[in-house]
Amino acid sequence: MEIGFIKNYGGQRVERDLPFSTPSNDEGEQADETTEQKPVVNFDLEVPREKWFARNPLLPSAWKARDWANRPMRFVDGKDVGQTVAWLRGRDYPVPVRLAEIGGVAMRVVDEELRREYAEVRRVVAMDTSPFPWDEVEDFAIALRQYEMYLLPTTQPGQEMSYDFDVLEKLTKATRRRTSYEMGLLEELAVAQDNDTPTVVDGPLKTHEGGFDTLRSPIFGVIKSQRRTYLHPQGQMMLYDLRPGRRTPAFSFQYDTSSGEEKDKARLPVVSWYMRLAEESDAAMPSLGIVRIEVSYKWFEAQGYLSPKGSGEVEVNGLGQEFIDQLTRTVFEYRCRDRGYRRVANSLHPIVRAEKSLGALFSPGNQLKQEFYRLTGL
Amino acid sequence: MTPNEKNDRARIREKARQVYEVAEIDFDRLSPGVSPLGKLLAPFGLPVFELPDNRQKLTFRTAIEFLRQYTGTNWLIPEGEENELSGFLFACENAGIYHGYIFTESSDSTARRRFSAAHELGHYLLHFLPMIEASEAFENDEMLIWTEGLSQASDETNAAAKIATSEADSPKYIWLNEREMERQANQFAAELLMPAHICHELFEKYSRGSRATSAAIARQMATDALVSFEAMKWRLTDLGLWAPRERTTEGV
Repeated sequence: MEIGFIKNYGGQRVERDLPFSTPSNDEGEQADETTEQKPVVNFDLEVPREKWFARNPLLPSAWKARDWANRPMRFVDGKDVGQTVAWLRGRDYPVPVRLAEIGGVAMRVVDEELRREYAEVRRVVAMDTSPFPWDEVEDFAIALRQYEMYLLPTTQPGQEMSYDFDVLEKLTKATRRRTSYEMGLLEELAVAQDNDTPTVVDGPLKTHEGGFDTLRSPIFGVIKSQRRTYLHPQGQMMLYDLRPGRRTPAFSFQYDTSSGEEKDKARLPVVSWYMRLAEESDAAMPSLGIVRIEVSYKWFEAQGYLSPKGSGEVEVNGLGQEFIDQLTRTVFEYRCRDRGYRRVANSLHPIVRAEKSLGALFSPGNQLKQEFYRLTGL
Repeated sequence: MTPNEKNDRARIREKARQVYEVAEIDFDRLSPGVSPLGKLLAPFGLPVFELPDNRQKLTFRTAIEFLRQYTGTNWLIPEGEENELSGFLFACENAGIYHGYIFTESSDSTARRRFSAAHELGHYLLHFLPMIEASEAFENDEMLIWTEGLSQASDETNAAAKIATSEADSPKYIWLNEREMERQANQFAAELLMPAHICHELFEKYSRGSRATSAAIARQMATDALVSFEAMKWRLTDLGLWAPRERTTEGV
């Protein structure tokens, strides 16, 4: 049975993705950190900011990551592979249609080998549905579901809609954001399969928050690409000079929740620090190899890693420093060493494996696109 | 929940089930997914409109002006009704002939438009038709008009509506218990779009062996059902599936 909706609205194939659309990212696009409420950053949490220095994890020579009780044994990643496959003639503006396969996966270390523990994959169609009658959109969604595809309506950019190119670009990016958001939900489900085992998630904790208990779960975020550093100028310079395996002092992100609004309550306070993963020879640009690690503030506090330092403030104590050093060293040991991998400098080996494992569950080549064209008669 | 509230909810649930029966869709064998609201509405002869000029917002006035042109009847417009609406119901009975029209706001999301249409169908079945029956019982032969607007400013689960009945040539507004009717219409919309047994099935699927929060599960289920997160959150709360605060993310 052919699904008429796309054709009925003048659907046109897009064989090559639009030049301005975000290219497919093997590891999934991480959340845009610029649109969020700005956190209050406490740079004095571990070391007063004027005394910051690059820290080499101070651990006994006999210490081994593999024997550490908090060693991450689970790794969670997501993947969003898709492209704009068609565009429709809306009443007042063109409507790009993105077809994608998205998924979330959890890998577990078993006998020092990584095994896929959980995976969920979905085929999705993202588009702005608002120019079309809701009952036809509904029929379209129901028909897609018969072929195991999910319709993901996007929201319009806040501007006057027209056939201008910039509108088309914004609508295209909105479809990408929508599939990326949905991928995040699948990652949350992957995280949620086990809240007790120390786990590394690819990306910030806030996008995985629905999958774990922020007070009790040892879930750590590793953010490999940042749009901003949050650091003060001295910290920024220090960051650029970090040697592989070293880290900055820890700081915290907290949020103003006094408004009582749900969106503000949902901000997740974290303890965070930067470290460099890359080997020196890889460090062509000063930002290359820099990752940021996040730990839930509540969890960190509940472990007894913070102590009062007077005037109502707290600081990371010796136990906390030991934990941060241990996690930093462990993350460093998990670094990707496959020089053939495009993003080797900022990647962890288990996350790369997770991504590949998930990719193996996706449709090969253009199969999904061809199926979509066949179903919609394009 | 009082026995009266329980009975009321059971009545609304039964009404939703009847709507599925009328549309010849087996309610008990529904698969998790998008409820076919368009097909459920079809047997009731209630056309669903959106204003043809999408720069024009849906209000009591714009909807009735549209109906004046569409029906060729000079329907009266209640005064002071310029609030922007998400949904609007115009229903009329005269000498045994029924007219009914539902409007949804074209700039709303698909999820919201579906909810608005289902909400207005709820008013039609739960409030307008029983009112007609009651008026017949009292041998009232006046023309009855019912208009109801679902306010744009409110969210889908906290509607604030203006409801009036009037005669065509001498407006006579009868203010009913609008808060209660809004709750009932929302309940009805939820029963249609998010049937309880489907919600239980999906909730079980996503929570089995998982520690996902209610919010994470609701986001998944909202995608599955083509409804908003807020509507799904309300529904899970209504069904006793929503755990309000499993995690501790408030300010530190």
